[in-house]
Amino acid sequence: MERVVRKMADEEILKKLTDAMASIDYDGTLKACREAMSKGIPPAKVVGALSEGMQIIGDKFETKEYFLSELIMAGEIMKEAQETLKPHFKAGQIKVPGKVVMGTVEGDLHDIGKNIVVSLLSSAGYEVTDLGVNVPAQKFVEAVRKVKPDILGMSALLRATVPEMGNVIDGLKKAGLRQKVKIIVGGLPLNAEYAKKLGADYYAEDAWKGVELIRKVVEKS
Amino acid sequence: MRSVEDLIELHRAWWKLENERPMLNITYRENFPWMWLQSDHMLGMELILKDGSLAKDGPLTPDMLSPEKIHPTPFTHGDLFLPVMPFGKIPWLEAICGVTPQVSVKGNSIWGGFGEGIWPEGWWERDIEVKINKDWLNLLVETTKYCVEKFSDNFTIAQTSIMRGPVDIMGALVGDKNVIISMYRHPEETVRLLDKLADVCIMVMKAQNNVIPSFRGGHVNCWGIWAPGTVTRNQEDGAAYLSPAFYKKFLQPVDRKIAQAFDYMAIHFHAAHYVHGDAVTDIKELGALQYSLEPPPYGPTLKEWMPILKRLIRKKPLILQAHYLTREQINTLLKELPPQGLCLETYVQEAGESHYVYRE
Repeated sequence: MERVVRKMADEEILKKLTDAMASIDYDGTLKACREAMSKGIPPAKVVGALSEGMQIIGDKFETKEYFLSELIMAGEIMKEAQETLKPHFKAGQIKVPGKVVMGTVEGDLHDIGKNIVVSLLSSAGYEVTDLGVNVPAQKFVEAVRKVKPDILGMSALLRATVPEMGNVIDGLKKAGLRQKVKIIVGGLPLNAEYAKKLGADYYAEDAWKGVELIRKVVEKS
Repeated sequence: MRSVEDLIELHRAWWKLENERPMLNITYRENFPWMWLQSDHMLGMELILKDGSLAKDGPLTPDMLSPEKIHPTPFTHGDLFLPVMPFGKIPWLEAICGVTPQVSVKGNSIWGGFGEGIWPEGWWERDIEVKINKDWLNLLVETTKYCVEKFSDNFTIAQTSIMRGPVDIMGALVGDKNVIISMYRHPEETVRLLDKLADVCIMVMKAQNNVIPSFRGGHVNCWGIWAPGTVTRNQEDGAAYLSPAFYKKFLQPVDRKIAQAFDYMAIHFHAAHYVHGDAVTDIKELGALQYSLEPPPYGPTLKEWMPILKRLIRKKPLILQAHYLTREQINTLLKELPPQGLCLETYVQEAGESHYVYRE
């Protein structure tokens, strides 16, 4: 009986956590995280509840109930929640699902979409190397050589800078690295056809789809 | 060559949603650059005859013309004046607020910083004042004066074409991402900072207006639209990231404050701002709303735009700019939207660059 009551109480806390996350409630999410830890709920279950909240956020973004501002803040809350949970994970419990190198190509400084992807992947445990904005092609090539990522993600907002993505891909080919990494490109001037022409493997329509796509590609590989 | 008086009356009526025909500046460029015709073909050629009508196809004789109709006047482009103004690519407002502009040849842009901000983390806990960089402010005012001295015989003079508003300046100061986080975590400090930045915007806008002489009892804005009073242009690019609720809470008050400081303020929005059209046109003091109709996925399709535009144009005049539309799409806009309050500026491009053209 006691076990059943405890299970119910745990579920209530986890539901509270999911709801707080889904409603972009910074204080509520962190409070529920701490409460869950203090009650001895396994961190993996807490991560599961947070992820459920994130899924609701993603769905609301897709239906235009949420906007980029909500995605940005969700990434921030996830980052803080992970920091709260970190000390409670035992050695070896934290799995790194994959490695990703991300950047906005040279000539472009628009990084909101890229930052959302970086933030959401980092909070999901991915090892993300963020090269920042205005990144020259050679820097992408060097990062791929050094980090050996599963995914290289490139972003651009300006039409004028999209061809830079092609230059990066050419640089990778010349360096003999192209086959060693999957390339995902994103940004409003692009579409799937254009991405293919540039030599990318995948195209992500928006930041949320980019995260989903990276998850799928990494899982597959 | 339409007469200045005709244009002024058209513009005056447009601000009041009373114009009987739309204001057009449509450039047909199928054969560009060899052929550059303008919107006047809809009514006649851009040549005003002695009787006040526009020249139609056929012979032209001296008795059809009169000196008072064809004497030199300020240059126009379609139904709009062609203003001269300080170079618009410089991020003047960000520079005046202390952010060093960065030139990017590849991006064909001059950026107001790198999106990371120049203020330290925890800015909301400190009493940070916006420091005005007087060198940039003086340069803007001097350049405006230069435009007046050198060009006002043949052109109208306007404020610089790109003046980013409070949320964009805040992004340059604290970092784009931190703008959003601050709205969630430090809303009061964010409201105060945005309000201070609105004051800076007003100061910079007025500094330019002070050196631009009045033209026919009014002023011309950067789109070439004359108004019978003071004009300005504002923009809030960063609002593209925000939910409509956040726009209302954080930006509508500062946009209202700027609108209240001028007789005719027009705000520039991109296609991605389509969700904020209702809130911005709720600002009573707003003069007009300008949408740059970038094609999807930057914003809605033309079909999706129509109900939004129909709703908004009943409240405020709209300046619609699109590069590029097909003739069919232009005809749809002109057919479905009322002429009252409509100003359409676009290029017609039937062939090529298909990814620039709206998909239905």
